Amino acid sequence: MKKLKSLGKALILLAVFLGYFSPANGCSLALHDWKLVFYLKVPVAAPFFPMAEVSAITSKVPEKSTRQISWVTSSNIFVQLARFFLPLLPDWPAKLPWKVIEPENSVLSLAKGDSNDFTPLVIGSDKCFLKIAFFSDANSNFNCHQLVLLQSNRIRAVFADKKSPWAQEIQGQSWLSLIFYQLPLPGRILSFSAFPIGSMRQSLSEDHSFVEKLLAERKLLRRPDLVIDPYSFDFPELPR
Amino acid sequence: MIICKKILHLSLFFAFSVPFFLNAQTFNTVDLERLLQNHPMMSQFEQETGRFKGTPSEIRNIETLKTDSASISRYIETLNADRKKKLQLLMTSTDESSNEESLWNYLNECDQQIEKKKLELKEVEDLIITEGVPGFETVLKIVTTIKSDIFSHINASNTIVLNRLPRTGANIPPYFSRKVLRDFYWHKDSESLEAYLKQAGRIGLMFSSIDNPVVYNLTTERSSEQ
Repeated sequence: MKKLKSLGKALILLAVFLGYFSPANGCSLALHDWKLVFYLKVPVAAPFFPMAEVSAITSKVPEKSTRQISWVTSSNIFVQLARFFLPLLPDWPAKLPWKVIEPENSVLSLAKGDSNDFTPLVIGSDKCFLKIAFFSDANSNFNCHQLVLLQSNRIRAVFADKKSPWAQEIQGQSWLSLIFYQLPLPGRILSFSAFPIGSMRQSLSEDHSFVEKLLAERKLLRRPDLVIDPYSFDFPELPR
Repeated sequence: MIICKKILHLSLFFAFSVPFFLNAQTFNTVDLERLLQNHPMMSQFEQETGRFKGTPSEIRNIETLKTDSASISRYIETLNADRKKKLQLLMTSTDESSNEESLWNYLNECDQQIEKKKLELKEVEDLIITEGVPGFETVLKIVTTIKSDIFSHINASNTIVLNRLPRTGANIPPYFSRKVLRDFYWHKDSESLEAYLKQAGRIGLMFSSIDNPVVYNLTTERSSEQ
């Protein structure tokens, strides 16, 4: 209980910290040349937040076709917390109740054996890894940095509809990215973004005026008008 | 002592002369046209279209493309139907002995095949839109390969190359003749000129010999009209 309380406090602090930045429209003014400085890949029991799972369901299963999602994964404190924060996502599966099931039976047998009065949707997450990467921008004389937390896992999902059943295995990937100048302190953070929200990369916060200031002071390299690459705002591919 | 002096002189001679010889550069001239014509890919080059036969740059027949599109679409439909049928059977079956891993393997293979076919279909549909003429990047890819092959051959030794430009006797490819390049000749105004300049990389294809520069005087016709 104590642990839960301290985690709750940490999350509130994080929310306040992120809330410091007012969201702005897409800031794509700077041109970064990200160099990988630090990289760590660790196996984890379960995904910290089922963003990739939500995205997979959204793209394949019609809305209002089920009333509950059975999530087969190792239950831990993060999984319980994730369920609590899920309704914050805009996608329809996030608004449904998520029932966590320990992975004792396979996803398929659970979907077949579910005797509810609605079509069961069972989604399993395993082979989970957390990748932590730290990049520095060569174009800013290595003063601008990006911290990436990426979780990857295997997703197996079964929607046991008799007329049009769906089953698919995909490699789920979701990430959080924090771009800051010199130190990750309030007022020095350029942007905070997440993927996937609504199946896309979403910028949760951007300090447009700070970016403009750094560009004016030539501390960041201005993106030329001709360089139009929607993926260039992200980070280079991480090692396997 | 004398031997020591001789060794010292010899060492000094090598210390100064060897780097000089190593850095010495040879000036050569290279007939790029001949090298270009000798490249294996040039046997596939079609003068009339400016494309390479049997490569993705080749201009395709529109009717064949439409047939291909229909056949790929049918194949995707069949794959999807098979996949759905297999799942439906599995959902209704009470047999627990079936190997689940083999089912996931089948689904993964099926999905990969569908994705591959969808990409193929998109390529064909894009070609139908451009009336069978692949994008200019397909030609550029081949030209870049030829260029790097030729230059890797030239730069085998430490040399400076003075080249002469190759001649390409290509007519205006049909794809460009309907686009801004031709409009530019019809309507001599600054907007067309700007559009024309944006196509700078393609200009070479319009002239029978690209080592003859072409200067276009925008004011000539207007001044003659006045």
